[in-house]
Amino acid sequence: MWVIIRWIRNNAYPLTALFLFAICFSLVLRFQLYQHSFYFNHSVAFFRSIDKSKTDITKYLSLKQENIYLKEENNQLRQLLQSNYFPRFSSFDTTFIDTLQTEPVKQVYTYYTAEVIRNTTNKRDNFFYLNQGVKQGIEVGMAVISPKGVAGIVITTSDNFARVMSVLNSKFELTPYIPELDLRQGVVKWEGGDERFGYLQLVNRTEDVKKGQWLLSSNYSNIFPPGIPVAQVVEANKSLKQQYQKIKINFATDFNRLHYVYCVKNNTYNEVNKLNTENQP
Amino acid sequence: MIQILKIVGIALVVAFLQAFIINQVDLGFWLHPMPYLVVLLILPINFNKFGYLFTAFIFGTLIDLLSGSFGMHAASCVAMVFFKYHIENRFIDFESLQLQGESYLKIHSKGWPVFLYYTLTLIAIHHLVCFSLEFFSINYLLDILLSTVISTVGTLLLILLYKNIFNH
Repeated sequence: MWVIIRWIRNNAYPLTALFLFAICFSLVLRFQLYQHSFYFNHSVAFFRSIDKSKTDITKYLSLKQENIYLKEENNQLRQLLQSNYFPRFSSFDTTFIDTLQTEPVKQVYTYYTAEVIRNTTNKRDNFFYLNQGVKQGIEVGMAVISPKGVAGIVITTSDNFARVMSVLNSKFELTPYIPELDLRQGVVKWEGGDERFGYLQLVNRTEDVKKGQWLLSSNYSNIFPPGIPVAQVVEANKSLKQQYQKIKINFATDFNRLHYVYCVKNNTYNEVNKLNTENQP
Repeated sequence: MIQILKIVGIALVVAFLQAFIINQVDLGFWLHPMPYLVVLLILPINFNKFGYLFTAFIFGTLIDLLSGSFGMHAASCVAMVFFKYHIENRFIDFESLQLQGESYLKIHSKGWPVFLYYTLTLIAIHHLVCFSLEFFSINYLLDILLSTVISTVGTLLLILLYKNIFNH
């Protein structure tokens, strides 16, 4: 403390001069119009550049929170998709139309966000685990989709966790929809080995499947919502000897980087299933 | 006391002269003579150094108020007086001046060269600060230096004129 006071006493003259000069300088900046605008324009630009570099550094620190927000927002947006709702066809009633009494729109698909906590890709039958369970609304048989495409199906659930059968599993089967051909045929299967590639089997040889076409989830499926990407055709070679083509496909989901996923509940699952079981001729 | 009153009177007159006559005459873009520096040059040399600074501040503020600029002249006066103290300490023999019975540096006390170096340096410092604050951008560096040099000469001529007339 004394050192500081002594230093100030020894340097009182330059400090006084500096003080007076600073007063004058602030007067200039405050009241001279040109200097004022010059100073504020440049200082604003300067502080903007500092802010920018600061956020460049600090934005990585809040990425986790940002991810959670984005996940929530995506979830809400997915609930609003048109394909989640029953299409409403207007009835042909020429005599009387009551526009006030419309049925509330029924939602077909409900989405739940979840985080993958364990994952394998190198076994013959691969499963991954979610940190959401029965208490959060996850049920057996729900579809699991990643932000990029189809990921699997929930097969067992506990109170707070769920086990999902990945697409990379010998028991996983899915019939895709190819929009270019309007084709709902074949089975997507993974035959082991490279986790990026699988095969689309049992497609008739007359179908003109080409490289680069997208395989989407079909609207015939009772589990997956329609229009979710499944894979992209990598190699399609027709052999004339066989009835069915075997097409190599590249999965849309990167299973090594599975982090946040959505569980999709089909609210009409039981209702449709009832048609299959009851009163079969 | 009489000397202080005399300086205050000279300061007021010079400030009004500066504001109402010299600032009103358009001498060109480069030339802005400021002969009010005479007041700071005739301050007694054995004056309190803090008193110097505050005198310069108040006098500069007076000029600023009269000529409608805020802080520019005050800042340059403070800067000039700050350097004036150091220059006098380093380069001018205090005691011989006091033995000669003079309170500030005159032309005949040390001769022309000393007087010219001393005055020109101080005026140049003042003008450099003043024009830097006026242009306020490094892009106008050439303009600042040019108007500093030209105005320094103009101010020096006016100060010599003043000294000739009033024989200070």
